[in-house]
Amino acid sequence: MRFFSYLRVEWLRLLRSPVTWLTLLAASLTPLIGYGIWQPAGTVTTAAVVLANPLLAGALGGAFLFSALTVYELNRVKKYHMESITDSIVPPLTAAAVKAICLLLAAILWAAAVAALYLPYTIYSLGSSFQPGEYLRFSAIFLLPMPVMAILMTAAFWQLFRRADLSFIAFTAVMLIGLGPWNTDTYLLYWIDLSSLGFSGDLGNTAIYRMAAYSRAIWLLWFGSLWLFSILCIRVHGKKLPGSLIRNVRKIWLPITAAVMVAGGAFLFAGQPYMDHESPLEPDESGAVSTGGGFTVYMGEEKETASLLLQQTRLDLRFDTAAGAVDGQVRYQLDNSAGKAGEYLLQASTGCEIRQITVNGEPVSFTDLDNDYYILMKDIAVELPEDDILDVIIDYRCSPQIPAHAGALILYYEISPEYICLGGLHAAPAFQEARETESCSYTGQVTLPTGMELVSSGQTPRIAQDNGDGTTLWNISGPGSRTVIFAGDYRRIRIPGTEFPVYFCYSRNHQEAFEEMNIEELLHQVVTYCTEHYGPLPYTEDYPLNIVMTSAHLMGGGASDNLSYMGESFFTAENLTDPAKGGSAAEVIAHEIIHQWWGVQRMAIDMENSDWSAEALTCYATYRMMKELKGEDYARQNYIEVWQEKYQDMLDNFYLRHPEYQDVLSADQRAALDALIFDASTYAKAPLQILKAEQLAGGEEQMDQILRKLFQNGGTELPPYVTWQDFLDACGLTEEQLALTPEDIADTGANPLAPSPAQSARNQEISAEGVKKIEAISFE
Amino acid sequence: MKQYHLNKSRLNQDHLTLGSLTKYHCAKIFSYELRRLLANRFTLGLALITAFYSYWIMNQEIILGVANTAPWSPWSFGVYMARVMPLLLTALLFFISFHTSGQARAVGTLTSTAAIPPTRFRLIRMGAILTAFLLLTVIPVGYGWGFYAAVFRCTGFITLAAPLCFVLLPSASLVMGAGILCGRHCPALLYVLMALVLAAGIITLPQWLDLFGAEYLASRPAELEILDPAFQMTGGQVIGRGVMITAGVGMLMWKTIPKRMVP
Repeated sequence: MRFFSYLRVEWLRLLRSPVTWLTLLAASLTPLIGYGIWQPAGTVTTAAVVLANPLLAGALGGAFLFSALTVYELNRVKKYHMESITDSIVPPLTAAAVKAICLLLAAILWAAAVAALYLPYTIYSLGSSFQPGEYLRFSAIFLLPMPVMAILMTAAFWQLFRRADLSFIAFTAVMLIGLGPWNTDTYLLYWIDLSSLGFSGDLGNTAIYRMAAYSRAIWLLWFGSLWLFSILCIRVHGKKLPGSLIRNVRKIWLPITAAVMVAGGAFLFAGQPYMDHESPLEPDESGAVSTGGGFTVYMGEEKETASLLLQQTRLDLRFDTAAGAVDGQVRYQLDNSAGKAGEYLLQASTGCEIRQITVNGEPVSFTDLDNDYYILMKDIAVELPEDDILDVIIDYRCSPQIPAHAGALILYYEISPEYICLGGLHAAPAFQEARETESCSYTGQVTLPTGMELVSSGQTPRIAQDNGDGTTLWNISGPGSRTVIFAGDYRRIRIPGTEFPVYFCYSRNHQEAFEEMNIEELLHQVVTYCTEHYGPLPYTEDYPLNIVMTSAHLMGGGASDNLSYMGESFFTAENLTDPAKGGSAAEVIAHEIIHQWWGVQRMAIDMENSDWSAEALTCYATYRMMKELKGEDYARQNYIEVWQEKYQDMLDNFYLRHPEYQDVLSADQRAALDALIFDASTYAKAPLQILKAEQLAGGEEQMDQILRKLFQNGGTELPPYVTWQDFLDACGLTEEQLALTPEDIADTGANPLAPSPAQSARNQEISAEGVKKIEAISFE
Repeated sequence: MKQYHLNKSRLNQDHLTLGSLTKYHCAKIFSYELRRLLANRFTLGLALITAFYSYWIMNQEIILGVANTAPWSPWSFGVYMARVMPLLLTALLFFISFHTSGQARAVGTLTSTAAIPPTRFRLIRMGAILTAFLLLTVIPVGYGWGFYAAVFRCTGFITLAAPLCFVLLPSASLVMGAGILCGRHCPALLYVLMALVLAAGIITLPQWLDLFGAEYLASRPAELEILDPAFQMTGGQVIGRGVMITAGVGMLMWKTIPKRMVP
């Protein structure tokens, strides 16, 4: 009971101290920094701007200020040489514990007060999309733990060093280690930089909260154990540290508890479940990474195979959203035409745990190779018999992970109570050696929490039954063997006036905003433009085009089968109507929809010209559409000049202009350079070449006819793909005619300091040498 | 506290003047203060951290070149120094805290009896602080130049003096002035300043708030639209940097001596 008496006295003393109130006041003002000066959650969504950024700024500011308060309070007695008096009244260890508990209590109450203080403005700013649960969880996971960790850390340092300056410096150093730029691609430190992940305002952030809570649990255990150990180091009876340690360690429960906490933290750290173990990207793998106007990820790509023919797929997915996992069973009907028994490789996501594999009713052995590779893939070796027909059933449980060593935290896939994004090999493992037959199709069932609307590629999903246990069973089907799945609180509306069925699926939280913005009109314009210029898409009422608003976590967008999807950040009113952002938001929406024509229905590739792809045609088509809708000046400023700048920026790169220095770069840095070249070539150089072709081929109408013919008939060199040569032939041009000259990428602003045309040409030659050198390294 | 003994034989020498004696004392005090600042574990720790951080920044970021300029361009070197400055300025504030600590105040009564004018004594101390800071700055500057010479065979370091001054002078004078002023009134504020300086290095601030000029250095070459431009400053930057230097020097001059340095 004396302990509680000390606690009461210390708590009242703390509350009576002006320094305490000054600290609390200053800490309460730190969230204001997050409204404009420092925005660690980015600005892609309104929730990031008004909810996440202020609370993150408050967390960091609160951590530093509470650390300063801790130093001040712990140092007070020593500073005024009162230790001999206070130690005779209250045992030193008890006093240290009491002080720490009071400071922690102050931090907890402060966090609650700050959350309450900034709540009204957050509600006002978010309007109908405000969700109380999101606000509370964010406050609990991001705002509260930082000052708590700061107090434990600082108190521990002070009890070890007994110097105020050293304690605060040590705290600052540890904070820098945890918050420094070397942590951009790991969640295992006490990170608060959410800018690469995106913060969703509509579709929940449980995936982020899980990782944040996990990392903070680790560090609370470790800082707690540090504090307990530092208690042992409190100087007693006039002894120095070693003597005090020997005396205090008699309280055996202290070191034991500290050891248990350290071990617990280490166990959690080593066994972390949210990140895979892939190695850093090598240059020859980096060509797949691109940015463009946003990330474009093609999901559900299949590989050409040799020996196994896939006839039919049956999929059964039962989502455990609370655990962030899916229990699945996939059944493949395979024709083993080669009749070979042996080891075959199953490709699965890194978070996939295979439970059992049976072939024709008999269990077979398999080995998880644990060879995580980019992006989030691993191989499982399976022994298949030599039977001609293989009925393979794979039972598994999959928890989506994030890639390690990716340079940034990226949430490609997630399963949470509010939102599901899963597809391709991440929904079900598949054999690398299996090739789909022409008649291959999949059917399946998906069990989701009731209230979640399922959007998937293929035929429109239908509700089979309400299971009565809070879950709903859906039927899915489609061509091929893989599906892409989104699920959430979606609303699905038909876009009127289109030649084929087009549906727009978006979060109900955004309903009011979309109705005000008339987003359907933008979507209608894009679909109608492409239909008129290139032709209709072969979609039906049962197999319509679905345009899906995905979570802000998946930056950019993509297209797969009859799905075109883009992140919610592109649908905010601010992004769509802000002239300073140019066409960035509407352009991405249009770009991803246009991929249905160039990318899904008609692929463009070339074995010799890696710059040629569906991206070039999509970028050009988007430019043409925006030119028609918003005028020539708008299109020039937001497309042509952007391409020119991007391509010129690549040519200006120091290491491309001076390839003799490329050898000093590390493998990671050369991989990044390779990615820069790919990005600029795909999203800038190639569209500029198509633009040049338009000018040489006779104008826009002529180019429209060329592209319409290519879309409807496909190519002839490598049918059905449209190759670079197909495009040249259709335009009646040669490759030399479409080589970009300095005039094609020059800035027309007549800058007196700009290089002469001769110098620009020389620069281009030098950069081309640099490009060749880095590509030679990449393909070694 | 080291005792100063008068050499009486020297007093009898005709050419010996009071000024010479004072200079002798000043040099002794200066070297003592400098040794005190440099020869301790914390300075060694800060030096090691600065060295590591310099290595990391140079090999991860600066080696790629800033704004498509060479890694050894004035712009790249300026950004490199801007990244390291938070650590150096933290060390500077730490040096200032030496004279505002409880221990320093406790011996203040003794030090004030030194046979040297108090103002000169304080100036010597500030000089020692500044010298220690500049010696610490040699670490990232030396590493940077050594890296350029070893990796890129680049030895034209004269062109790097301008960006070094651009980054170093305004921020150091402002922080030193603020540190001396805060130390006078409330030594605990020095630690708040340290946190602010470190935060200014982590957080991306608008250009007008940028203490170290990193945003300007990283964006100006692209605005000029020519390749590998020479280092230059806009009018706004000249004014801004000038204001910072003036403010720093002003704070140093205004009641220059923190009360707690001399009781």
